[in-house]
Amino acid sequence: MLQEAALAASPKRQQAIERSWANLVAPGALLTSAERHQVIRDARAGWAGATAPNVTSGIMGEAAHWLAVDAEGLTEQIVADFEARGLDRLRYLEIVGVVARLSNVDFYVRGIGATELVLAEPSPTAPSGRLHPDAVLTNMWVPTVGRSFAPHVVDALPDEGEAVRDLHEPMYMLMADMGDNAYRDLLTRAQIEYLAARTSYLNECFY
Amino acid sequence: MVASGEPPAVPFGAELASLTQAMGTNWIDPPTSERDALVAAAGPEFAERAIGVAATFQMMNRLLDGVGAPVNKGLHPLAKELGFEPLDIPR
Repeated sequence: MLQEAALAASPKRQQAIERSWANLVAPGALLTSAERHQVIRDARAGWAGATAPNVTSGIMGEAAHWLAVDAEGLTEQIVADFEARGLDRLRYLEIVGVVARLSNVDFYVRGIGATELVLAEPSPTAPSGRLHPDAVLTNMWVPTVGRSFAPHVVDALPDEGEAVRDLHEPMYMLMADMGDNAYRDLLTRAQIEYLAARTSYLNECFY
Repeated sequence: MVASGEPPAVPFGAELASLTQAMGTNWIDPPTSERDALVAAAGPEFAERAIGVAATFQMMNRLLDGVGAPVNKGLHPLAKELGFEPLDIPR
């Protein structure tokens, strides 16, 4: 994986991509492996230029498409409409986690000039059903746990939350370093935050 | 770029801006020329690190917009200074 890239992946980011991809294509808390594969195909179709969701994928395909291409355009009303048509908030949350992590994986892979990772056959193993017992609906559209901040917003599905941080830390910085404005590695903190701010500006994400 | 149209003041700011722009707006082709320019200016390890940061904020943006995370109240004054009303963002 990634061996043919134009730019060599650092070992820790290569390993993070490998772990995340293995997790993405496996069964989740509520979605089967086959359902997660379809979410991946629908998100990728959006990035490839599809202007509308794949109608054969139903509501899950709609959610995957819009999360991929226009996440900033989603509203409480749209998510409530998904729910009214059968996509409950926790299954929607799992799709959020899958599409978001896929974007990290695919944009990184494309960024270093490697070939897009290929879906194999889905696993027949059933979803785990693992939910956080303290997750409740408060000031977001989905159940959250406690005073949720960015790397914890999918923690109602504990395995998704852990998978987010398992990718976020090697790509950005360790959670323990996030409060250190003097942090630096190959990049200075200012360079890191410039990349973050510019990306968020282009995505119209105002969080 | 910054409001004046000048590259950001951080070292390799112009190259970082171009790379981020390419990664964020072209979802099909690799950012080959922008990546090569950053490699030439700052080296391959620096460029790979920068690509990781830009990619992970694609994830974070979709997570936060997808769950309807509100704008942090502590940042409301800054948001207004930037020219938008944070409570008007559709949530």
